Amino acid sequence: MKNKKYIQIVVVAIFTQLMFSCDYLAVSDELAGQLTKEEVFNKPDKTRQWHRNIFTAIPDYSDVSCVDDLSSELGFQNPWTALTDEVEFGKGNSTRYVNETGFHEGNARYHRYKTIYKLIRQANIFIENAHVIETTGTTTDFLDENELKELIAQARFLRAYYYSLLFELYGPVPLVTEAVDPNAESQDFSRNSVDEIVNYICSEMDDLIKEDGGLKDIETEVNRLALPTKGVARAVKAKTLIYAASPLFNGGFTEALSITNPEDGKKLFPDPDPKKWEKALTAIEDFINFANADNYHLFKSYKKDGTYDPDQSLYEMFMSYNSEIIWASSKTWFLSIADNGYDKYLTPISEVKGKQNMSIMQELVDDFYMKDGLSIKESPLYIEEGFTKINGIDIYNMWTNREPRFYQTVFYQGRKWHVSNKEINFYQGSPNGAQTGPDYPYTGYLCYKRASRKIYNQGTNPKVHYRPSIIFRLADFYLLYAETLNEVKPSDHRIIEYVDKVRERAGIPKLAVIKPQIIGDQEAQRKAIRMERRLELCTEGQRYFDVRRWMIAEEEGSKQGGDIHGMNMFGENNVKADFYKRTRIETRLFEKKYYLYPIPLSEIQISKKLVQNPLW
Amino acid sequence: MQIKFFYHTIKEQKTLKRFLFLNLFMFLLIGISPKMNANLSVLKQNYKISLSFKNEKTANVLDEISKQSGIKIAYSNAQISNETLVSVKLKTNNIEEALSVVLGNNYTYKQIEDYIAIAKINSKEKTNVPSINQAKGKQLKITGLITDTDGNPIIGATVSIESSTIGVLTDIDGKYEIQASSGDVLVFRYIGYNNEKRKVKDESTVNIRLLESSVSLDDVVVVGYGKQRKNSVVSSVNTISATELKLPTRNLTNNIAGQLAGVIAIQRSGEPGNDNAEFWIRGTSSFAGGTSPLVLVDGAPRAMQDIEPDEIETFTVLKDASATAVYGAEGANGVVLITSKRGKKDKPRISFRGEYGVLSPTRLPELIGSVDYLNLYNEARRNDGQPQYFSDELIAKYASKEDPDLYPDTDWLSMLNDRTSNQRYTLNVRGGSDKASYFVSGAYFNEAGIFKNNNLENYETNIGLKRYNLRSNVDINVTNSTLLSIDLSGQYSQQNNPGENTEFIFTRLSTAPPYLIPMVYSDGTIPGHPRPSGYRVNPYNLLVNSGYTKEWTTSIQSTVKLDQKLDFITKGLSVVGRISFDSYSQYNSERKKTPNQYYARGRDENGKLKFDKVVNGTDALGDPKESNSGDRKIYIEGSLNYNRTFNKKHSVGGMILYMQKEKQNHNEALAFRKQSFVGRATYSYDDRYFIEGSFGYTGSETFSEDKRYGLFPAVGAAYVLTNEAFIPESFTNIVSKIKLRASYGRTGNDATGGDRFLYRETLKTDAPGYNIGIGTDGGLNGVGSGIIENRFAATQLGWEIETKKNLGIDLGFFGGKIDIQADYFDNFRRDILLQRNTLGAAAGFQQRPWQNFGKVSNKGMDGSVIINEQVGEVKLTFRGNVTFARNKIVEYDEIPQKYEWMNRTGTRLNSWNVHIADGLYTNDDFIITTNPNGSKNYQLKPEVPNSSLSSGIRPGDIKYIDQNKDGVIDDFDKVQDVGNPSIPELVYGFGQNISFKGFYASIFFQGTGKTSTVLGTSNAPGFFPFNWGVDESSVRVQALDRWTEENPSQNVMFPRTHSEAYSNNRTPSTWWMRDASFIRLKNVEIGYNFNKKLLKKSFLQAARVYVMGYNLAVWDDVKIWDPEIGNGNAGMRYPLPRTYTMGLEMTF
Repeated sequence: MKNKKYIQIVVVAIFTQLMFSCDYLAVSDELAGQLTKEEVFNKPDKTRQWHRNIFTAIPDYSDVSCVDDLSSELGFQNPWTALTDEVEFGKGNSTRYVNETGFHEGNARYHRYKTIYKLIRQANIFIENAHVIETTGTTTDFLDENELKELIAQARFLRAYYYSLLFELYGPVPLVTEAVDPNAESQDFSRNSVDEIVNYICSEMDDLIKEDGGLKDIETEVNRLALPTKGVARAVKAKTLIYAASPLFNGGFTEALSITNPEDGKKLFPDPDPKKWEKALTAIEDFINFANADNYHLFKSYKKDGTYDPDQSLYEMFMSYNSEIIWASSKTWFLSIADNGYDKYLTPISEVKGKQNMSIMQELVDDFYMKDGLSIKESPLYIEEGFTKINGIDIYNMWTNREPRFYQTVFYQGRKWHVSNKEINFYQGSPNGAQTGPDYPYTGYLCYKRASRKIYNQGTNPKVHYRPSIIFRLADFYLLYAETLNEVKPSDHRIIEYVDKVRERAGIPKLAVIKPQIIGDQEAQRKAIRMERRLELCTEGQRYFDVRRWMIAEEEGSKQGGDIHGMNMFGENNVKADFYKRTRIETRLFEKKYYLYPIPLSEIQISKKLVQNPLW
Repeated sequence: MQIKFFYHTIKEQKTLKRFLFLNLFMFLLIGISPKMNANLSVLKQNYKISLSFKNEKTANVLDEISKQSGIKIAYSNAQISNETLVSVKLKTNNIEEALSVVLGNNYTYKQIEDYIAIAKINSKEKTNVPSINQAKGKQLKITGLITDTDGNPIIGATVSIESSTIGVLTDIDGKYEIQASSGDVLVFRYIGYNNEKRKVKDESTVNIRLLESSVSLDDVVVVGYGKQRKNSVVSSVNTISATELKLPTRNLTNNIAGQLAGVIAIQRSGEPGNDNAEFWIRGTSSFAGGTSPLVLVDGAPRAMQDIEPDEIETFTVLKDASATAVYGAEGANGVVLITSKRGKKDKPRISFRGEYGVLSPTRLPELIGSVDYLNLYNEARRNDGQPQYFSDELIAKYASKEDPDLYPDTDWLSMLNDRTSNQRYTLNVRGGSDKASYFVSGAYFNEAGIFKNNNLENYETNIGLKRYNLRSNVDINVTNSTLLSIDLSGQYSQQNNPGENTEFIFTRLSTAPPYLIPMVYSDGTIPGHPRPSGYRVNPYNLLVNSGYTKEWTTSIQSTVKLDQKLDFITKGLSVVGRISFDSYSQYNSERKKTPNQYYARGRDENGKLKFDKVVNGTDALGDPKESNSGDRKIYIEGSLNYNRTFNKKHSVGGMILYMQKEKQNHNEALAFRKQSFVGRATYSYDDRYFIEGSFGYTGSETFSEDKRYGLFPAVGAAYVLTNEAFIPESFTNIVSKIKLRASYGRTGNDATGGDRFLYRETLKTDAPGYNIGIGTDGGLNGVGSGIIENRFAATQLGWEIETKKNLGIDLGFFGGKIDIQADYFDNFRRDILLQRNTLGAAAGFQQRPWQNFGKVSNKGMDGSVIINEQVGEVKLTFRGNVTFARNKIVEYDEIPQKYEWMNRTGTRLNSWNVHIADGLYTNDDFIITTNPNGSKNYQLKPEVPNSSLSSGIRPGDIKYIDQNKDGVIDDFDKVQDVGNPSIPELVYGFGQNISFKGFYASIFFQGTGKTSTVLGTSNAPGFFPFNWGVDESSVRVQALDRWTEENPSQNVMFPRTHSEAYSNNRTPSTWWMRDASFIRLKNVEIGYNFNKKLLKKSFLQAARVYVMGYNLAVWDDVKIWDPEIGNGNAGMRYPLPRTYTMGLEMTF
């Protein structure tokens, strides 16, 4: 049979063919053109794209949205103002639940941990792999020695800065300064001690300050304004050392002293050492000297007649880039009011698109000075009850004759909204009173600080006003300087001098004039400095960390737990008069363990080497 | 008596045999020559017959003659013993000569139609051989009629006296006459029917109705890459016939629930076009990657939902390793094999079926009206310590219904119709000749949704679905040993939808308050929510004023298959090659619209409504937006097959196969590919002992080259005890079949849930970037997206393995009247493909590396029973099946949990992680003090756990058990694996058919057990009153059954009402957990088959009319929505339909 052989051959041929066509599955070889890490660092634009991702955890203190989302780390936004005795949000903002019901190591929301370690790896890989790229025949772009030096300096800065962000929240953490091999035997790390972390941050900053061709002294080109500078490096170093000298990290948190690594028994928190203030003083002095060399200035604005205008100064300071800013983020939450964003959260709902969600607590209202620079307890100007007619509207006396910062920060019942010039009321039954949803000021006050007075969501008015989101500004460091000096040498005249620089800008009398008796009194000066920090920096994301490092979160006057107050939003009779009554808004929770944030529980559970913070 | 026809699959025999027998009988016994309608005498034709046999069974030799000549040969075993051995060597072109050489000279050959019938010369008309021991009792002449269940006479059935050689055949009228003595037992037999026995008493007439046997020994079962005789199957396989799949739904996936042992199917939505049931074979056994079975239609991977049941010949599930190992890579989750009908050598037969159905929702949520709603909100405010919000005067206005525009009481659900309809028509032609056979079918189905139409618009807003199916399966005998099959099939569907998707409309229905706006103002103005947002909408607008979308899908499947017998190499060898090409495309066109919307603030002095414009829209439809998608699949298979029986008793089979397939998606450059080498060897001895070994050697694109191929072997064995000679007949008369089966093997899985080529590193190029400049209008100096690491290369990654053990038993009683199949299985999955959980964050990895980790065990049983019984003229059939599967996570890459009740290891998949409710807080839990102004202060007693979930806990809120006893209810008190999983562990179905003369009725129940659901876990705002406040809520009537201060009862459905989201009460807990098991009256059918004798006179061969009810009733604990929906969208899903259908079926 002829057929037979023929078919046999065909069958055998077909099977042989099929059996050996194994590369059928190697489809992915087609992917060979896909990007690899090696290629990234062989192309200038890709290298830069890799590098820019390292910046992405720089905090944005204008972002107070803090959506109720357990899955993302919200610690790069500004939940801090609402988590401390400054601000209260409506429901939907996660801070609201946390204040009321507390949290545990398993459901803490405002972490920075995982995000930062990813970016530290991103920086480590960059530092280890980035190299000079010459132009080739096909591409004209190149990455030369100078640019590489800058990029690496920035990466090193960010890596160290990120450790400072971890440090202020968690205390000491594992120090990972090399890219970890995913195939390595162990990817488990122990925590380093406070001193090791602080030393690492400072030595990195020292290197960067010393190095030529890395960071610039300061940046003035608009195209580079968001880059870190040697000025910023000095600021980070100083602030880190001041934190390290503060009670929380300097032996004051007694429960922390016994925390040791399970593996090597290393003690993480040092015993008290007052000398640390001296070290801090050297660093902050270095920064102040740098600032005073015409690099940074307190922002001041003058009227046409040449007289100083504190209101305008305090407002404009946040409205555009200026020389008070040491470092700002290019990413902000100052979005279009038509969509979302900071201004929307501050706008009453009677104005189109308002969400009126960020409200100032009565405790902060009461802490603002009178216009004579004295507290409401000390000042003869203060009358709580009764009304004064201002622009034809009865204003509660509590809110009259206060310092300029009060008017820049607190929007109270009876004030007129900018642009629309409408009188705004918050009492029950008024358009901006309590709503069925969460969109009303729970305390009866709205925050007004950093709100743009140009934005208005109607007509041709601007809907958006871009502002830099400030990370460090000079007033903060003046007060840090005063604080450090006061810890080292209470008699130093510069202490009150630097506090008064801030007060002067705020448009209130100097302490040297109205309270000369406190000069040299360490305790009184300390109190004055702390109050000045509270008022000057309120809602900017600073106080949360201050009350913790000073360990005063359970002290009268700076209590983070307990009842908080506002005006009466729920008057029974829908009349204005019922509103003017201090009313408990909620009872907040503070436990001693809140002084340090818990390392995420999942991390502790996974690791054999990680130890949790005290009391968690 | 065994009748044998060649060239027929056994199923086809049933329809043929009656006709043939009539002719055969007339010819053989009665001597009347039937009318010949063949033009050509088949006996006279020239054939190429070449025989060469040594000691071969006569049957096999006749078989060969038949094959070589292409002519069917019919004979009766009574006349030709097919066990007789013959030796023959012959070449001839005369078929009669060939037959004579084989059979000898005692036979005569006659053509009947196109068959050759063989009969013994000199055979008497009626066999009536006196038996040797006949003097037992009085000799009686017994006569009678043998009919089938429809009452048609059966011609050629045998009537014999048990334990004797006496026997007769029935005549053309189905009548017989036999001499027997009283005390003898008469045995009535006919192929394809169950045997009947009657003891002879004094009567002279014994009429018998034979029941069609549900299991014939010669049934063929479809298995992986082939077919096997049912008797020789060693693995765990279940088949249902197309009849049971003919339910009045579009979607085949909805028809299998409760029908097959081992299949767990759940339908979550009734929306036309979006109503696929999820189904699993023997449950699930992996917490990562795929758990869906592999579905093969005519051997190629294809979707099953749009196949018309009338096109289906068999539907088979493969469950254990010995059945699925040949599918290697994809066998771990079980396999579904669907075969379509093929042609058969017969006159063309045209069948038509038409159905009309009326559908209505099984259950819809019930919502409260405005007055109740507003009062409940005031109560909620009071509970939250806030003043009354809606005044009594205002509520009175709603109560009086004085102005439905300003004080509406909108029943949003009234935008749904009570009923809708569907229609189905199928027409198919089946037939064939020597050279070719064909099955051609066409079908049309349409179904409308339950949405109302906006009569003002010139477009359709209701859901409407039309589907057209076409199929043509053609088999061509290219040569005597070459069969070429060409299959083409296609489905084309067209669907119309409202501009917004159905799920969204339903979700918004559940958050639209009744008091705010009417559907349409009385003057025709379109209302909008006064404070509009994406969710604060008028749902009626979403339906009728949102435009529409249209969708067309086209699926084409084609297969060419060549089956070449290689008997000239060695007998029983054949080679098969097959190529399939499938293509699918979908086009979508949408024209959306958002109308101008208004809110009535009041009336002016003339009584006209004063409107605020709340939504700036447009009256025109937007420009059409088009999108499309599609894919194409290529499947290539080649196999070498061998089947032969030696020395009568040794049956040997072998198969070796190669296949490769790819699926190319329209938006993905790289095709998904798979490649397999498959082998199987079977051996059986004397139909008693069976053993089978098989393997799949499969490659996957997921793994690196050295890990790419996995070997998945399996062995199975079976033992048919009742075929043993030592089993006495008295035993087999009762227990007609005992078959024991066992199998063991492994299958694999490479599905990771989307990620491909895991052995390669990937980078992410769309990560966030950063601007380093700060301008006056925004950030400056960006360089585009950031680039970051994504996935590490997982070169060590290999196959996920499932080891399957199966023990089965098949039992038959009373000659097939009762047929039972039961299986126990024990599956163990290991090396599950997952991303490592237990890696610290400090390493900074963007993605957790992949690895093979984790173990899951899945054990259970499934079984089915079929009982056929006849009581007089009434035929009864009962069928039932049950599946139970329970899994357990044995090893999981789990972070060590703080408390053991939080561990996932040791729990079941799809189980619930909830708080344990401990009733509602009562006054006894609080220290209550009264303030001077009369208000009360509640202070929890120190021993009572406080909730961290919400503040302001009061009596009437849900109290939970404080698992860790720290006085605080938080996540640490959530318990894993509470209640039963969301996918049922127990599934069953049972039904009864009854027929009497031409009438028949059937009823079928389907049920699930061991499953729980937690209310409100999805679409919480649509379930918990005022969760999003009063403006964005609706309240179900069940929420009125609540705790109140006046009625502080624990025995309520809802706790204290709150005016906003209250986490403590809505967190998933046992308070909201319900037993989700149910029993459903799935199908009831009543019909009438017209008497075939009467039809003979018309042009029809068969006709049937029927009415059918589908989803008629359900018994369950969920009650407020259909339990099968689970907790999906808080019951606000397109409802499952209840359908009443009328149908007509005709065969020409």
